[in-house]
Amino acid sequence: MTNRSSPTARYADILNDSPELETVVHALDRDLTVAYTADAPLSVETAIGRLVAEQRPSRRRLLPPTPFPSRLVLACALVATIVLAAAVYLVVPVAERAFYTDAGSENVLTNGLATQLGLSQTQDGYTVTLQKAYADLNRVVVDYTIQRPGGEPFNDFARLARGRFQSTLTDASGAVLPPMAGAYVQGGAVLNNFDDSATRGTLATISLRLSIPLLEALGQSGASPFVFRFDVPVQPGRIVNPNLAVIAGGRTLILQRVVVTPSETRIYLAGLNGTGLFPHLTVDGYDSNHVSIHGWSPTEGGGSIWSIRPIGGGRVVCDFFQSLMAEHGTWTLTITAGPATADGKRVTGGPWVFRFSVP
Amino acid sequence: MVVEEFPMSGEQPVEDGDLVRRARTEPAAFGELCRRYSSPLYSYLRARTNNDEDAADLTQQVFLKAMYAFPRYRERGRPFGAWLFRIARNLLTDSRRRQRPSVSWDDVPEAHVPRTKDDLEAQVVAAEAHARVRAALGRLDATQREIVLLRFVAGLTFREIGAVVGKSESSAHRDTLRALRTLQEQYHDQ
Repeated sequence: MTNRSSPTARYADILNDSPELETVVHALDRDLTVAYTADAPLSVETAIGRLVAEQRPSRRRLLPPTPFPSRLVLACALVATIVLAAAVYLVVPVAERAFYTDAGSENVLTNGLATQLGLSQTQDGYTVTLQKAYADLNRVVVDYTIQRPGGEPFNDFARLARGRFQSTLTDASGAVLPPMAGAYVQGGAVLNNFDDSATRGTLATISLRLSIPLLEALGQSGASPFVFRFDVPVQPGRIVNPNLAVIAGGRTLILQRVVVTPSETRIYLAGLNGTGLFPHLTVDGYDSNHVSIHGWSPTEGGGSIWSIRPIGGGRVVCDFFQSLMAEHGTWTLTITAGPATADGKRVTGGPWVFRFSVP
Repeated sequence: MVVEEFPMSGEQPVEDGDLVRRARTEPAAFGELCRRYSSPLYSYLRARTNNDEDAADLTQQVFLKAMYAFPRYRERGRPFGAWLFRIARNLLTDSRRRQRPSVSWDDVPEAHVPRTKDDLEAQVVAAEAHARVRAALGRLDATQREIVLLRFVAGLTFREIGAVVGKSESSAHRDTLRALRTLQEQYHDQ
């Protein structure tokens, strides 16, 4: 797809050779955007989630899913979803609806762990308000709202997403925190998550700088970003260093570190540095293969439930995007490897099964 | 209601090709590919169908077909996005044969007037845009209309458009310029 940052940039391959077409290109872009461009509705997102959920990580290839339910069933499901969403809409403030599929972020917001900031700035009629921020040993969450000139909520997030709109968060040393998940919501609210693992240590409070290039993403090249500076307390978590080694298929995997925080649980493993790994975590009362988020159960699908990725140096990091702060006792982590591929990066062997205690 | 998500990867956005390779065995990667194209596909299908419900229904069918066909998909010569839009185009043809939920290219697409907005001014602006779009697309032939929508609504590159409609990249570029010159007079002085 093309870069959606501004009409001039998007259509440079037309306008560079034919600058006389600039007026018609800009006008057509404007009108077609208003007429037809829209975010895919929730029913499409639900269908994608269902497709993914019905697929098990395959050792051969993806299998065809069962057919979608009839349109009537889909309509009933959509109505039920709308009713549920409407109920949530009535009782949950705008900013907190952002965390619909991110259970960890939802936990830190709805349980009052985030710091209320209420910092506002206005440029060219657009007002950005940094509502809340949250930090722990795994991630930082920022939550802000955007209002159009005139005060109505900004909802044109599809345009921002296509322009690869991304806020930047830096700490007091100038280190950039890597972006993690984010969610746009109706009503002008935006959620951004940033990886906090490399920067915090044992700080009780962190000073942060959030830069939001909204106007530039809307096509005003050279516009200044909205910049907010603020302090956030670092919420406590639990750190366990099991240092357990398990050999399977002739390969050794070491469970080094487990960091449990209100926003998520992050597990560090050493001995492998590839892709195609699938984690499964069970604790008393929790099974990562059977997590339900607002009635949606993307079992084994990853995405909103877990993520596993190599970080170099023969290490991989596994995130479970739910709060397991209340889970104590014996945890069981099973790492399964996918099939080998021609690129040679995919891990073979396993499964590796770790049982360890988390006080 | 979440309408857009960034990848849950903690890393910079990955290219389609990387996701395609991962999606061979990782369902989550296939889901990420689908989400990446869900809004452009839905927007394109809104322009080719009579109502939002048909567009949403067809968007879901595109992903279902893609899931079935994905084991046979090879990236050579056809980017993943172009492959999805090709599926969408075929589905539109099939559905028109069956029950006509889609708009024939012999007709000009009906405008989608937003039905959920309370803002009267926004509705007026949208209605005016719709009227201009109808008038503009009505001056183009079927191929030009499709190429314009794939470029301006779906945001595809000329290489991707060529792969969707069965033309070369340069031919898709040339047809777009021809369409824009046809529309130049209408949009002059706006």
